[in-house]
Amino acid sequence: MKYLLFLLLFPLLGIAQPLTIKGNQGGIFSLGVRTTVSAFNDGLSGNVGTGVGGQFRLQFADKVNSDWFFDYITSDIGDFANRTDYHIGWSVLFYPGRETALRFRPYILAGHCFDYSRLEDNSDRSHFDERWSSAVQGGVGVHYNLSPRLDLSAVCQYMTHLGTHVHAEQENGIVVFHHEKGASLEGHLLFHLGINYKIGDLW
Amino acid sequence: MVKKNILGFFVFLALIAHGQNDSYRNLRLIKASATIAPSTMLNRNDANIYLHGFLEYFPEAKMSLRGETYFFIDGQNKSSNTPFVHQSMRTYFGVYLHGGKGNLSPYLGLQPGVVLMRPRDVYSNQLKLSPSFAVHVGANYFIWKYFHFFVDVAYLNSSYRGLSTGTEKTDELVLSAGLGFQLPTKKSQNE
Repeated sequence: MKYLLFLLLFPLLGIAQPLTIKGNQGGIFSLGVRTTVSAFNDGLSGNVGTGVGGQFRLQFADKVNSDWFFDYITSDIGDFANRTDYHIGWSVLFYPGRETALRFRPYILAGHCFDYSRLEDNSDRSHFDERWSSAVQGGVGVHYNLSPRLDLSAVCQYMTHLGTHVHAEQENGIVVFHHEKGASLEGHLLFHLGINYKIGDLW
Repeated sequence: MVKKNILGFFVFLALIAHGQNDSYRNLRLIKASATIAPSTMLNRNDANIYLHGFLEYFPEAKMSLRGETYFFIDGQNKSSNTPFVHQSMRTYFGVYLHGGKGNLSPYLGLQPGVVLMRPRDVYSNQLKLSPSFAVHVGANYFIWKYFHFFVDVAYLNSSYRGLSTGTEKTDELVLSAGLGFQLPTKKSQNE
């Protein structure tokens, strides 16, 4: 029983130690969760959506970090349909300025992701349309360091989907999905509020 | 009767005395509890009952990482209409910031999460996963190395999408209180 308890508690002891930085901030690995608000701007009924997600971060250098994320976002399309979006991707974060030990640390980010969108008729679940695509995103954010290991991060980014455009409309009381091929820069504005815990410095 | 009152007084005194020791929060606690939690839905006239359980770890005295689940038991509509929720489970994970001194610890928590919900048949019978987030306000009072009392008020934000009438907001305010258990993972300096 004692050994079992030790095995269960051992990983926690690691993250309870003060964070030791080896040289520079490159190598810092952190895990986090985030909540998302998605402000869609395509279509006449592009309503605001909400989402949940998680990420891990691997910092490459004092000024460069990377964010690997997954988001699950649901939103309304008027009162006749709804939309679910899954995003999986990564962003590179760049911290301007020389100071690294700041309470507030602003950054700019750019990255790429793969996404899956599913649009569903509210009155008939079997009536739906879907789309696989990729996207690029860019934006700004800020870490608020609550402790040497923990930060609260706020991000605002615009994500542009590349490829086929899909949207829903109601025509004479019937929900119609338009699936249009061609180059369309359909996108949405995302706001994230996340918390991240630094696990350790890997190198 | 008098004997019971005297006994009760000494038990209370003992708890207070324990409360004056160095903060147990510094001992990198793992704490957990389960309790029955009543809720009120903010967008309809429903009241629900949940079984609420959590597991929390304090890597630092003023910060903890906590995961919790609310399991729906039953609900009722205060106007005798059909309550909205038939089945529901809410799960969250996030960070809590703790203030206060000694063993009384007011806190604020923020947690992203998900809700798995099935409404009553009159609305829809589809089990759906939706994103959610929770904001917690509450306090712990550590009475001993292994026990604490807690009170927690949680605002749970969520929506049920895909109904023929459009989306229904399913925000709730949940009250949890009771006895919690903790396990120190670091030795006290007094030991």
